[in-house]
Amino acid sequence: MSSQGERSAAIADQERIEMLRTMVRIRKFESVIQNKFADAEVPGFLHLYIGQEAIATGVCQALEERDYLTSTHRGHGHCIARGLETDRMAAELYGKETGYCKGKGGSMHIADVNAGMLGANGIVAGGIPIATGAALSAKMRDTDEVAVSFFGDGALSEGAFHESFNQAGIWDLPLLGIVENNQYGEMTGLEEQHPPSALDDLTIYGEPYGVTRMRVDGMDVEAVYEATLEAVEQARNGDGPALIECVGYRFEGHHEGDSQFYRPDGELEEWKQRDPLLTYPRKLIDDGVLTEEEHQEIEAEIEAEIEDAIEFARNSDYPDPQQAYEGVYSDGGEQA
Amino acid sequence: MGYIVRMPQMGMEMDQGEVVSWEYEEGDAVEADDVIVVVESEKATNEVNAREDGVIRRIIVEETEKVEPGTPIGILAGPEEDLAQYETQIDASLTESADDGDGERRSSSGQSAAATASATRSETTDRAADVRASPGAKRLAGEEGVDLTAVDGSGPGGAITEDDVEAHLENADDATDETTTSAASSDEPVRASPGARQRATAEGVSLAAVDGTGPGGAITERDVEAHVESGGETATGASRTIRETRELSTVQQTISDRLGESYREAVHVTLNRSFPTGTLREVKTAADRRDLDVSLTDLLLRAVGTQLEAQPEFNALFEDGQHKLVEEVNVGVAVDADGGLLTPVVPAVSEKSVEDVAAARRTLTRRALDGEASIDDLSGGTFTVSNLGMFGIDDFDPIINPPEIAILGVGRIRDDGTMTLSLSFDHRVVNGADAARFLDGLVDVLTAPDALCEYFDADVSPAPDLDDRELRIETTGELAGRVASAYGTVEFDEPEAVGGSGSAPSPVDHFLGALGSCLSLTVRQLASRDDVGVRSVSADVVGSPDRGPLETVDVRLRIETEADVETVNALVDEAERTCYVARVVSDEVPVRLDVDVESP
Ligand SMILES: Cc1ncc(C[n+]2csc(CCOP(=O)(O)OP(=O)(O)O)c2C)c(N)n1
Ligand SMILES: [Mg+2]
Repeated sequence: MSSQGERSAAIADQERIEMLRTMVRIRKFESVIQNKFADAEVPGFLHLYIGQEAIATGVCQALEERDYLTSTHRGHGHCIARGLETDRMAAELYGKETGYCKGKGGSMHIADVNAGMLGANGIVAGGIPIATGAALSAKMRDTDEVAVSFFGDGALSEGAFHESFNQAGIWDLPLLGIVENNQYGEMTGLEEQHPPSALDDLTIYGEPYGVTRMRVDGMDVEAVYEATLEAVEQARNGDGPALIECVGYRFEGHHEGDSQFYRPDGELEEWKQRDPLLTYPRKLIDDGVLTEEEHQEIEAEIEAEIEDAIEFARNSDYPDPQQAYEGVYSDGGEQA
Repeated sequence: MGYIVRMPQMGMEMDQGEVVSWEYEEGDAVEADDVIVVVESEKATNEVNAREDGVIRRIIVEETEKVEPGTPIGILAGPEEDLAQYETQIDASLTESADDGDGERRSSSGQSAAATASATRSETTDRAADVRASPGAKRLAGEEGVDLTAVDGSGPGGAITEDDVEAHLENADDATDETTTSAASSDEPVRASPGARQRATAEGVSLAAVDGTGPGGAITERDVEAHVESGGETATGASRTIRETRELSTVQQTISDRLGESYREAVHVTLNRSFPTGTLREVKTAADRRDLDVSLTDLLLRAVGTQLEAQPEFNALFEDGQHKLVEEVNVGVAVDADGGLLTPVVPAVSEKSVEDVAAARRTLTRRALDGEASIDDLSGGTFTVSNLGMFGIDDFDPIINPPEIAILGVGRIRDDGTMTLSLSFDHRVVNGADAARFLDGLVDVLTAPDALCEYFDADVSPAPDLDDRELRIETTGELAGRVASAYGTVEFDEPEAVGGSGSAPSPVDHFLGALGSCLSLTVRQLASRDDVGVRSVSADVVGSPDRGPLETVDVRLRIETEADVETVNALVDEAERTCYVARVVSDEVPVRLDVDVESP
């Protein structure tokens, strides 16, 4: 596992601040949504990304606008890191017509194809074949675009993962798999869902497919960023797929309402010591990239942004019931 | 700052939460993250933490009270803060949820929390809150100012559809117009994709004139294009002209309603189980040999009866949310009658012999086919069996016959001798493992010869471990017994005069029968070898005297043929020499053979 320290010098100050802002935005957005859900304002299921912000942030920072990504049931962080706007996201969560999917998708189905965000996905590992298709398309169109798929430790035991990476390995597709190892698949600990030989390195599942394998600290945004840069460069050059395991932890329940009976005492507190939302601002301040006041300003500014986003969602209309008939039929596959 | 403390939503399935205990009293100061109240939903108990520092200013919902998620249960605010703003919000949300008669609780209570709530509901919809109507119908009613309570619903469960509202409007326009429904349907909104609509508008095409080729006949953008290219003529492509519109028969209408309801409400899961039918068929053959009119379906029904007794949870109804286990085991059998599908019910299956099950089923089936089934015939079922095997179907997913909770589908016997049983069950009531056990138990019976034979009043037990010409004789009394063969058993008994009970042929009778049979068959075989046309061969065999050792055996063969007597005599001579049974008869007892030749 690489440690941050010496490499950080290579990352521009501006980029470091941007990454901090992204992480703050994810955390604040979700903390507010968490309360709104508890107050029964937000319908549906809610899976929070709190604790894993460094992963989406580091990965997306290393991508270009022309790249693609697919997300999971725990997708708000990926969307925000990709640059989707918090007001339309909030509206989608509230089921309002101004949302990214006209309020018909909700938390687990946010997509913005124009932004290369090919969709959150309620099906575990469901995004991987989609990203593989995007990677194949990139290759067939002879571009240097890269497709990134985020998925959890639980997705590694799905057939879709293996089928996709097998294909990507054979055809050297520009596919990048981000394994977000948050120690649990739903309520099942890692040791109960993977064999002992995989526990120290989940990328072992990529070995037979010949993918490049990396493992980084998922609480360290810069480590994630640098590993992704390397993998992306390789993929752009036509040297095939990679798998990056980001080791982290989910701070909230699997979904809201989860009693979290399965967590050993003290585990959460221990991981919280390494909360990137605590450690990263401290590090930037120590490195002289940021002042304490600037940090406060960022927090306040984003807090206001999220407040506006919630107001926007509340003030938007529910889709007309007639909308249920729209977007159901294809027009015969016209291509962009 | 401050905020309204609400009953938290703890997952999607939560309907209500109970305030278990307040950890503070009104006026107590708390810090952010302190547990202020413990609440409990149907699924879990949760602690609610303070979101910020402040004072518990109000407790609105007391301990042990239950409320919906999102309902205000208290106010946390600064010690001196004016509570007016919170109170107006709470008042607003309470009035709104009181108005809120239907299932829109979740969104509306959330909405009410927002002081800025913008979604307004028209008066029409509010008044009609108890009326079941589709969204389209509600919208149209709102636009046209129609009171939904005055509209007749024709949709599922009597729900009002958009068409119903239109029909209602037409009726109001012209009360004497009898053709309102057809007028309404010509106005029916055309199903078209959004792209098709745009394109149609751009091209100035009326969608009503375009043939749709999309799912469910929806018009796609390509259809509009094709329409434009053909100059508005729809000569190209497939057209659909309604030749005839058939009303559903009353029976079919009932079936339609009930199965529709079942399919919508019951959570159908079907498990398939294949098994070898060798044993089942052997037992059936054994029964056939005894002229018992018992079909495979009857055997299955009887076995199902046993399994329903073993797993009474399947011999049950699901009504008013209750799983009602029934004492009697009454199994319905789906019958493909002229007027539609009928399911006459064979009562008390588990208490009957299979012969009785067969007799009852035959009578019921005949009445159903003749259109004479009575209400009694068709009611009281606790489980249903549907057999499509005779149509060559391998397996299928039957729909549960409500209020029953399960149904067994029976497929054909495949060339390899296997058959598939498909059990559809209502997963709201029983679970997959129960259903798997049901099929397992059923297959156990259907593959166990002893268990199947037990179902008969008659003795049908075949002895399948015997070969041809291998017999097992069992004596069952002083002078009686049974001969088991590979093909079934025959009984023997001595006449009463010699101390038996005269219930079956004596061993000598069996022997004489064998001799006569073998001679007759040998004649037939030789005749066919020599191409001699023989219509029939029969024999009378008399052994004498009628008690004690046999002294003579007289066989009179009657042969119906066009051949001349000479030919026939030659055949019979040869038969006498070659008949396998005759050849084992000792010379000490003469066998006298007479032949009657009859020309047809
Ligand atoms: C194919 C499929 N199987 C099961 C589920 C139910 N499910 C939802 S989330 C989840 C756990 C996923 O674990 P992981 O991939 O580690 O993601 P995490 O929740 O930890 O982010 C499961 C099993 C599902 N959504 N899709
Ligand atoms: Mg996980």
